[in-house]
Order: sequence, then structure tokens, then C-alpha cells
Amino acid sequence: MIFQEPMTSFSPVHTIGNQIMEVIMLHQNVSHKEAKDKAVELLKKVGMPKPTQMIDAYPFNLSGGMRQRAMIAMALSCQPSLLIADEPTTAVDVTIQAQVLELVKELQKELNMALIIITHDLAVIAELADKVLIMYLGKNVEYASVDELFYNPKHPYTKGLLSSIPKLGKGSRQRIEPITGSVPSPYEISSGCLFHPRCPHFIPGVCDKKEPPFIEIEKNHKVSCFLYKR
Amino acid sequence: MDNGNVLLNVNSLKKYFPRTKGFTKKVVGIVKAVDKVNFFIKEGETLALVGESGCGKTTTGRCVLRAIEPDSGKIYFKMNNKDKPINMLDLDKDKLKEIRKNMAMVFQDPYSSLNPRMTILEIVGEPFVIHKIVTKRRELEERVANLLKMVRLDTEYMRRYPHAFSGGQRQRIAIARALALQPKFIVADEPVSALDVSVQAQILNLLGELQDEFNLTYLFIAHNLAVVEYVSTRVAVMYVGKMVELADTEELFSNPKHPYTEALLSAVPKPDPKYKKKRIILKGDIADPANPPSGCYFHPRCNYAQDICKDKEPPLVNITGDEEHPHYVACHFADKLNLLGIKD
Repeated sequence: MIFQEPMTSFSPVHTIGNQIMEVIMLHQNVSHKEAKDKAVELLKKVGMPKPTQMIDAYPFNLSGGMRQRAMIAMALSCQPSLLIADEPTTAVDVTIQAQVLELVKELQKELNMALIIITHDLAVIAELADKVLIMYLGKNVEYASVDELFYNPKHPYTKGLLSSIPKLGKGSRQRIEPITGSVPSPYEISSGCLFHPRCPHFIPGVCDKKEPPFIEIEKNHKVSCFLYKR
Repeated sequence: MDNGNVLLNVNSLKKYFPRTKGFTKKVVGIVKAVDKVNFFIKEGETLALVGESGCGKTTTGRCVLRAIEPDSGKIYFKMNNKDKPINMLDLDKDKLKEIRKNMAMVFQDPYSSLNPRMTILEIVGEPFVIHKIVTKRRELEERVANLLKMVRLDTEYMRRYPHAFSGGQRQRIAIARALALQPKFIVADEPVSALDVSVQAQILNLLGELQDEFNLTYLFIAHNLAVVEYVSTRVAVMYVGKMVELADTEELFSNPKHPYTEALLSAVPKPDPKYKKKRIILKGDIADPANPPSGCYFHPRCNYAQDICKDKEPPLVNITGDEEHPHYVACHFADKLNLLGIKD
């Protein structure tokens, strides 16, 4: 698992080497020295500069990008077949974001891992994902392949999300269309389809009464919305 | 220069923070947060300030309002074409308070910029109270109600406390407060970076509508380049306390002249799965402003760096020679490099 904020997800009072070695020694039957060698190896793999020295560094000695690399090294320490990355790049700058995304892509290819990436940044999804699941208030909204989702979105919420981001290279000529209202608190969820108070295609008497089923409308494209029938 | 009024003219603005150590507060180093920054903003336009975190964007924005006292430099503020420009740094406390009525600030994080113990009425109405413009309670309520309408908030919410509002609503409250005294100039410090994408678009559109309605001038601080391209007339790129490039938005995005700008543009992931481009990945991290490299600060990460970049600091020059649409760049090879911008 890679966490959202590299700053707070490490223990500040232990060196990153110790924290990575802890994982290795807990799960693999190896000696202290072997664990250390492995940790150095991992740090080298994620592109940490001077890994033999950096292994003794504390998290506050590292910059955001380097901390995120250490985090990835820790997540990879037991050769997982599934890596869960929770907003791996939201806390870092664009230039560092580019480095981290590139690294994750390379490692995925090299180690043949499955990757679950949790993010609100649609651009990151376009870059990394093969399939996308859109959620709203804890429920499935739409599920499709990346290309399908970006070029043929079905659910009004997905469409709203896609039209509310300014795209680079279009300048001020573009028009962004925000979704009206804001996400309600989980305590005051409405009846029926949870998105109906903000939906432009709201059908009175239908959307606010019954919850739409999550159906497959095309091959590998599922939507939960009354606008679509199987 | 055309007849547009230059509202704000900033000249070699400097702010150094001393780094102290231990109990005696001995100065062990200097962080050059803002180092000889020059720019001007015309009335009604939006100048965006972009750069990585820690490059001095926010410090610049705050220095302009004298929320942080700059160390040296000049900030000329001119209400309209007939007036004489006033140097903000010469003013004493009373005069500064007077001129500050014309400027306001919207902060980055709407969760910490609103006092949790004040109601919305008190928060938005506070500028009136401070400047002793409104004394009667009835009138204050009326004025606040008008402001809330302006930012499309329900006026009934006036007596609630900030915790009852969502991030987008809070940012609207902060904007209402900034608009209270009908300022000409607003410093918006990352106004949308703490918000959800769907809400971000609402706030951006609101800022645009208010600008048209009141002929506002924005200094828009941001790190999201897609947002910057959407809102701004001109863009200034900063790197470790220095301005490296300043040009009209379209020019800068399609025809960048500084390698750092090129790298920033290429680093932005596009929300389009078909678009898998070869990007320029910058090596290493942003330089430490307390201990910057020699010569051009960017040279250790630059793909085009040559020997001269290590020794000599490049000056910021206007390469078009056109006064109407200047394109300032600080790079030794600005006219020789062929850099890629972003195209449709």
C-alpha cells in the first residue's frame, strides 16, 4: 500500500531503513544484515540517490518526492502481486508527480503487479489505469475501460466530472461546466439515486424513489442510472 | 504601453528570511524567498504566479499587500490613470490602512482561513467594522446579505458558523469577505487547490464572473497549470525565489522560452488516455533556497545546461522587444533553444 501523504505515513523517529527492514524481517525469514541489503536494493530500484547513505536518513531529511520513493520501496519489499496506491501524487508537485508516475509504471511492468489506484485526479487515471470505477457517496456509479470512460461516459456524474476540469492547451476559450451543488455529508444522504439532487437529467418520481441497479449496458461497461436500459 | 492603467508595479522586491539556530537565535543562513522580483499588473487583468512549492509564490503575494514586510524594493499602486503612483512601502500605518481598502486576499485553505468562533455575518462584515464604514447593525446585515448574494450563497446562512459549510461554500465566504470593500485588486493564493474538482470549476467560474462585473484585477497564485491557463491573461513562472519567465498566457504555453517552463508544461498529465507523450522528467528535487546552486539556479536540473550556466546568473530580458506584449526570460540560451509548448 502506498499512502496519500508521504510526510505523515512514516514514523518520524525511525530511519527509513529501519522501517523498510521491519517489514522485510516480519514477513521473510532473514537476518538483520540480509534485510539491510535488501532494503538498499529496494531503494536503488525506486531510484533513490545514494541508497547506502539514505537508508540511515530520517523521513524529515527527505523531500516529498524522495519520501514517496521510500514509501514505494517499502510497499514493494515483499514482492506483492497487488499494489494499492491511495492518491500517490496529490501531495507532491507536478514535476515530482511526473517522476513518481513514471516510476510506478516502470515497476508495474517489471514486477508484473496488479495496481489499484485511488485518486480524484482524472489526468492521473488517464495516464495509469486500464479500467476505471467511479464512485459517489460509497456506491458504484460507472465502470468501464479507460478509453470507453473518457470518450463515451454514460452516467451524468461522470460526464459532469469530465467537463469540470480545465484542459491544458485549450486556454480560456474552453468553457468548464461545474456540477451544481456539492457533495452532501454522508449523514444526510437522499433517497433513491444518491446523485439525483445534483443531476441535470433528474426524472421526478423515478430517481428520487428507487435506487438504480448497476447494470451492464455494453460489454464491460456498467452504469447505475435510470437513463440506460440493458 | 497602451492606455490600460498599470495598477500595480513591483520593482526588485526582496524578502530574505534568516535561518536561526539554537537558544541565542544566531543567524546561520539566509533563505532568499523572494529575490529581486519585478512585474506589473494592468487593471482588469489576471496575472498568474506559478512554480513548485517553496519557490516564493505566496511570499510574493503577501509582500505585495505588505502582509509580510518586504526587505527592499518598490511597490507602486495606482488607482487610475490620473493619480500619481503611490509606493506602498513608504506609507505609515494609517495611510496603509486607507489604501488597503482597495486590495484584498483570498487564502489557500478555506478550512483554516475562517475563524471558527465567528458567524458568517461577523466574518464577512468585519472589514466594514474595522474601517468604521458601517456602524448600524441593520445596515451591516443588509450589506453582508448583498455580498452573500453576489457569491451565490443563501443569505439565511448568515448566522451560522463556518463548520456548517462545505469547502466550496467556505471559499465563497472568503471571496465575499474579500469583496466587502469593493477592492480593485485581489490576491488569490491557491483559491481552488484545496477543493474537489467539481467544486473547483464553480469557484473558477465565479471568480471570472466577478472580475467581469467589477473590473477586478487578480494576482492569481497557483501550481495547477491547467487552472492557470483557464483563468489568466499573463503568467509569471518562479523558480527558487526568482522570476524565470513572464509572458502572455497563450505565448507562454505555446512558445515557452525557459527550459523550466517547458519541463513544467510537459510534466502535467493530460486527462486523455490516448495522449501518451514523451515527457521531460526533471532530475532531482527543487533547489534549497537557503543554499542555492551557483549561476542559474536551475542548471543542476536543466537538460540544456552548459558551462556558462554554472558561473553566470542570466538576467531577465524582454526577448520580443515589444512593449505591449513583452516576453521576459532569464536564460542564457533563450533565443537559441527550440522548446516545445502545449498545442491543441
